[in-house]
Amino acid sequence: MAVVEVNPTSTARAIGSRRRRASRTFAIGAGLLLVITLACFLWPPLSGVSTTDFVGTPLQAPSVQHPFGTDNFGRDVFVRTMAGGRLDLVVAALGVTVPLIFGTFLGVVSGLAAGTVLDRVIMRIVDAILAFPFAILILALSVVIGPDWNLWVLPAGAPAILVALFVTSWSVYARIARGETLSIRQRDFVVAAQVTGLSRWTVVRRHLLPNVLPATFTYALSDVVLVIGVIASLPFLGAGVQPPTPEWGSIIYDGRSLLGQAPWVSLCPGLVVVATGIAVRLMGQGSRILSGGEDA
Amino acid sequence: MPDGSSARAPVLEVRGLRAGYGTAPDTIRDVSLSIEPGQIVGLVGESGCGKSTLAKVVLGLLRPREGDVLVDGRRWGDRSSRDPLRSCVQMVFQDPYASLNPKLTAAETVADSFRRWKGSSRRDALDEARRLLDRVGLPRTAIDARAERLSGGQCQRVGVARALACEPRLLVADEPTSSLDVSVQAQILNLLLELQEGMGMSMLLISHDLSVIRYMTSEAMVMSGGAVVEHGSTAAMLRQPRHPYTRTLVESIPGQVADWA
Amino acid sequence: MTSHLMESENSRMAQAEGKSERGRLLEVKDLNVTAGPLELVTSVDFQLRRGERLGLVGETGSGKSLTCRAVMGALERKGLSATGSVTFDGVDMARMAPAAKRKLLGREIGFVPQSSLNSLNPVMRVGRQLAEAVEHLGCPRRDVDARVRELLAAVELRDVERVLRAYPHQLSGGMRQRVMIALGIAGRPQLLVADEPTTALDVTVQRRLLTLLVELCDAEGMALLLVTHDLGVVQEVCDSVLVMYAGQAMESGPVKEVFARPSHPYTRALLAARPSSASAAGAGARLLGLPGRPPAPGTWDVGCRFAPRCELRVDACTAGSIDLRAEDDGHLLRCVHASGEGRSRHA
Repeated sequence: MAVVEVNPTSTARAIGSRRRRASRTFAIGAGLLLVITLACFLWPPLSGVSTTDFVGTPLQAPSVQHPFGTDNFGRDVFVRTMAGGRLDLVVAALGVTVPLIFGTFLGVVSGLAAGTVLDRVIMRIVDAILAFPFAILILALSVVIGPDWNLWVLPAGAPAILVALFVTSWSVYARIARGETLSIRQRDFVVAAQVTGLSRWTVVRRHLLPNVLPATFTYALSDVVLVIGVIASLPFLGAGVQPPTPEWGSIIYDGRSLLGQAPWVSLCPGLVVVATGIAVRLMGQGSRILSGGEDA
Repeated sequence: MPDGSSARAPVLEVRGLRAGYGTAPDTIRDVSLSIEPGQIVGLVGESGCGKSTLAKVVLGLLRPREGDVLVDGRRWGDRSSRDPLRSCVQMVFQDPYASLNPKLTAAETVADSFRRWKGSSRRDALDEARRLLDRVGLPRTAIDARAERLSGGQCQRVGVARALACEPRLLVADEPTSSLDVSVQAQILNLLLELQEGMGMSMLLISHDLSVIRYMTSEAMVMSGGAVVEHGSTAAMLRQPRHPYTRTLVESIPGQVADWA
Repeated sequence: MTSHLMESENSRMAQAEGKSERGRLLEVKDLNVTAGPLELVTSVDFQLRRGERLGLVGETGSGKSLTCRAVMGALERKGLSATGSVTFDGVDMARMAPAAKRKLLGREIGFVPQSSLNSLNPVMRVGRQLAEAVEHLGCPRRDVDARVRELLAAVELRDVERVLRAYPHQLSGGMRQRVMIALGIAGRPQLLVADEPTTALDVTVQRRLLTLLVELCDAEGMALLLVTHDLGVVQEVCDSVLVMYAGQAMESGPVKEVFARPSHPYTRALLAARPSSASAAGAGARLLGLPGRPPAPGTWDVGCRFAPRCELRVDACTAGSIDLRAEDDGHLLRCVHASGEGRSRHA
């Protein structure tokens, strides 16, 4: 186990260029996501057009004035898409970050306590949650919690989605973090840290977490895509964010009956969803190689 | 200790040690040895003979089932990170890459030891770490590089510095050079010898390479199947191995037939 | 046992021998390995006669493993490319169809990798893996079991039944490596390529495996290309040696000559760095470590690549490229100094 595979130095350069490519992939994804995010948050206030304003004749095809055209009420689809994106992005960010932190924490605890009752309890809960098909579980939960509940600034429907995500998706992070913790805690550098007398907390903070986080973070990036997809598909099940608040899923849903005469009403926001997905996906791909180090 | 003076007392004294794990409680049986201040004792044996288990007990990572382990005349207490013996015994690992956290720089790795034992501030610890790394021969450019960018030999120097920062009385070196190129191996072995001579550091050197043992030690012991099968002067042991296993070992050194030198 | 496999092989061998010069099995000429614009191995030449054992030695990153991978044509997958010619048994491997090349590997060229744990399928019993390999090499189904047992006997694995039923992790490192050797010789190859086959094993196990390799080579008339960083291993096993540094051959020749009269300062430094050499020099002598580390690919100078670490460096070393030249005693040497100069400083 000791001797390093084949000549690390001569392949180091090849790995170096691989890493450079990976960070470029990550940067492209991050750039695209930044553009979409900025557009979502800045365009609606800057344009001075509200999501409910009637800006012209209904069902206008895309033009310079209305890049995504208008819908059957004569509202600007681009403004609605951007405004709706704010909600999708915020819900996705919250719905991924909170489970990421919570799940990683529980996973590390479980990994450190491996073999104890605590570990077994945590892992049985994870198993139970993971036994359900993931997306369907979230859909079902948010339907059950109810679409009418609104909380704080979140419009009706959004809290239900968030709660459903919080309840379920930490489990994957916990499992990943536990596995990583188990493998890292017996690596020599962790033993070395114990031998040099570092406290348990220092070992976790300095040696364990920095090596566990990349794995869960990378998964989180792929999770974002899943979450956006889930939010956008909820309106089709009669749940999700309720009208009149625009949201990617509901805009697409509303446009479904117009597909024949005015396909842009559904297609253009759909393309934005796809672009967001690709952006996050690229970040995930880059991050996977960067965090995997030499052997990814 | 009979005379009570810790200066002359052995740095490590192991008497009638029996230790092991749940499924294999007798991984090592009836092991005794002692290491004087400034002495390097060699420990030879094939994988699974109990070398690593012995190292773990000496390092206070595993509680003995029977017998005594005295470091500097004292017994391991609760074996936690607060145990005062913690800084007395340090270790250099076999796999130089695995023994360093890839996310930390060389200086940060060593600075952690300084902060723990000297209570230095973050900045002072880093400065001290840089000085120490310079002293163990790490190139200036590598001192603030992340561990994943270092070569095997450089990693091993960082490992040695991390141990030294705790100012240990005893260094357990577990196959410190077996995964290094011969040119680098020579540098690391010489570094360890300098520490022994310059600082009077004691060492338990675990290796399966008898030529390394011969170069580094004057006293060595051979373990097989969890027990010490031969113990004595390295030179005599290599010249006239008494135990059959030692004999096989001596005959197995590659290039023994050489007469080029 | 004369299997069908054996017969077909014999006829192929007879064909090949008509074409190639008798005795010469492998000829590597002007081999270069590059990763994109980056040069990793520069113009390596060597040849191997039937039954000869050649050791490729050098420090980590010297290009020895890449050279051996290039010989087997196994570089493409890693995004590397090789130029130059590799002639096996009179056939230029670069001109072979991929299918023919695949056929050659395993049958004519066997391979023993370094890490047996990574090379065996962890969820398949050893017996099954051996049987599949043997069957793949064309052994008729009814003879497979006998052939597998024969192979295990050849690598001196006792307790055959247990090994056959075991999963790879249930075997010790030494036993797994024996299984790898069995796989390597399953096709009765004429050339066995072994990449650090005994690194990370205990010395006694290493010794037994090396003895086994030598015996197998002698018994089957196999040639051996052994990649290792251990000079002692080369000295024991090989007939000739090629010392590589920074992607170049620095010195090559018969093992006896090279170890008795190492000519290149790098070879001498490597030999002097071995712990056994200090004891030979008398008690209290310090090993002569080699300061610095090999230059990374892409930072190689025009002249001698070893010059920055060489204590015999003169201006001529870095003035221009230095060719391999033949010494009187059959050595090949890439150094501006004559073979005797400065030797006393190290030996």
